[in-house]
Amino acid sequence: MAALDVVLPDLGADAGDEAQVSFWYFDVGERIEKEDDLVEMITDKATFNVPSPIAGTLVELLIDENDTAKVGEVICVIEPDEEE
Amino acid sequence: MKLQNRAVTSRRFPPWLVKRVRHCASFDATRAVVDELGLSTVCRSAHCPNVSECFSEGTATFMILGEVCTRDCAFCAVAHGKAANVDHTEPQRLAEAVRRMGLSHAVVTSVTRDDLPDGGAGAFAETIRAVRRRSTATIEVLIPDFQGSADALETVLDAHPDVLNHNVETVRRLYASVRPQADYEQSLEVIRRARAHTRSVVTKSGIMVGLSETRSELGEAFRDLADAGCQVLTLGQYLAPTLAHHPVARYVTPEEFDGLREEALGAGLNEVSAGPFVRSSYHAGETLSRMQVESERISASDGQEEH
Repeated sequence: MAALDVVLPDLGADAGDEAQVSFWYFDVGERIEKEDDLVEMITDKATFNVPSPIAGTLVELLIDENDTAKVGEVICVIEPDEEE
Repeated sequence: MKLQNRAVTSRRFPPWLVKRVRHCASFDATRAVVDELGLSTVCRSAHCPNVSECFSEGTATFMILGEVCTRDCAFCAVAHGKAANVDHTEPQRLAEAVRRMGLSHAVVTSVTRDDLPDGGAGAFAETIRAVRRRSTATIEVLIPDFQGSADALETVLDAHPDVLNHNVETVRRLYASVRPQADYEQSLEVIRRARAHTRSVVTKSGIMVGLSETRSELGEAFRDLADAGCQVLTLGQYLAPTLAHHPVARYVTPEEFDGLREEALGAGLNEVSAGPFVRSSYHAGETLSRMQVESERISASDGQEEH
């Protein structure tokens, strides 16, 4: 399976709306389990945690802390575990 | 993995106000039905933080009569100004969405339409009837005050919704700053009249906390609602849609929400949903199911007393 682009999900406003990265729970190179919280995002309205859709290794973080991402934008890339 | 407690010290929001959001196919499927049928949802228009959860579960709260409201409440993200023309195909399209989504409970609200002679009551009634023709879903309508018009309210009630929800939104004292185009007594009267008109309709209201109301003012509102015949109450944390809206006075803890729920039940409300992310129609179908089970139990025991 190819590396997975994780996109910022819909947060409750219009598509294209932004959220600010508050905190990445993992560094590049670290292993992630499925459902682990990847990142804390904040908007004017609330704080959101995005869980990991798969188990694997975080290979790229595309948005730095305190920078913003748009709904639908790729925020990180995960290399899935090898299938047995 | 980094220390998790570092993340929960987010500057702006308390640690319990964190929503997990994930991108999934069922979210996209709900969004597709709504978009294909040209419908609006209050979920998106009011920037509800639950949208990811509810759409993924295949539910949504429809908003009829356009996306522009004739009022300008200080807490609301919905656009205000000149409202849209009434689209008479909307009831059928909404009924079709209910069918496609397989909803067992349909919730319909509207923007406030003070520009229409009936305030939009006819559209609500048409929508209820259209859904009834296409589905066996229970129907909940979240209505404006129709500027106190008894006729408009009757138009909606005569279409026999299962739940009549009208939110008082806040306590009496804060109406001037939070809901200047509405009236606290008038909103209580909507509940009172609904209960008097149709014994079988479930009456419901909602209050946002964190707008600078006091605990005793909330207690008074609970009693006022119970006296007016309100059966179901929702209590949720007010979140400012933008920093230009009414500021959040405070964040109420989950424990305090539990306390408020007990107090509201003690004041005479039958069913209370309370929590930071609770909203008027959050898990509304489950709330109605609980009410129906309870009222069957009460009818059964009343029956026994009469004999």
